[in-house]
Amino acid sequence: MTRIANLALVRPDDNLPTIRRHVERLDLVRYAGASDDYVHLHWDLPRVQAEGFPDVLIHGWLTFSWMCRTVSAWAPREIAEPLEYSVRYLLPMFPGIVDCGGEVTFVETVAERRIVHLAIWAKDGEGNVSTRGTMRLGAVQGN
Amino acid sequence: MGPTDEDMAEIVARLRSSLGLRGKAMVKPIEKGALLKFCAAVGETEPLHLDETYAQSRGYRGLVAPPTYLSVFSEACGEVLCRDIPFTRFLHTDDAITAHVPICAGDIITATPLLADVFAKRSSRGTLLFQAADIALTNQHGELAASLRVTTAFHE
Repeated sequence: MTRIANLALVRPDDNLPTIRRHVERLDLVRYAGASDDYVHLHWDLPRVQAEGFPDVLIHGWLTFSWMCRTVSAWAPREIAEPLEYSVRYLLPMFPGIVDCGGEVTFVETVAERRIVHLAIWAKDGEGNVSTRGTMRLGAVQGN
Repeated sequence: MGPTDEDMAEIVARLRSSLGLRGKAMVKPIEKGALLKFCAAVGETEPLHLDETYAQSRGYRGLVAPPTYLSVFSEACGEVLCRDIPFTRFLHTDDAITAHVPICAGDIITATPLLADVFAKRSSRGTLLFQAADIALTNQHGELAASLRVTTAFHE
């Protein structure tokens, strides 16, 4: 895994390493408990199947968490802090393969602070982009 | 039969008359144990989120909340989203966070929701009625620590 040492080294079009996860229903139950999110779509299999879904849906915020992890696995939190981050959920995601990655879209220096803009995404096992996001990272003071 | 375009325009106008309205605030302490449990659930490995001594050595008050931990405040949007509409089903479509001050274990956060936007859009699922809430997260020192925008699309 490539971890960068300093945001000053980052250039537009740099790719973040893609991280693949094999997601199980247990991961969703664990997240439901840790986030106090008990929306039935994420755990009540008979009910979601009756509603026409093939399986329980991955929490949008859990996918977003994995997308953020892709960023911090590349730019460690002690050198880069997320200032603005957002996602749009395009398709429901289900347990199975989830890939998360991203790329640098723009870099700038604002008030002597390095700022890096990223496009981030999550894909299912068939390569469909389920979630798209953006993040603005700022260099942590002293780095 | 779903609502007509005129019905939707009327609903949007009615809901928009409440834009800017604030809902009841939710107060929640940021607990170290809860942060650690959240980190385990999302596979967090960054030491600032897991190692209190390390976080303090880097100048933070305590464990730093992981970026998406703020989702625990998203339910505050329920205080401002209007349910008096012909749709009961909804999709969570967008989340956006602007961070100002790190949120750390030991903080007490007040989450104040506000109805930020209402609009309708046609889609393959029929007409979607979007409602967005802005949730201001203020810490115990009265600083705006972060704001969170949650967007939901109601549909038939």
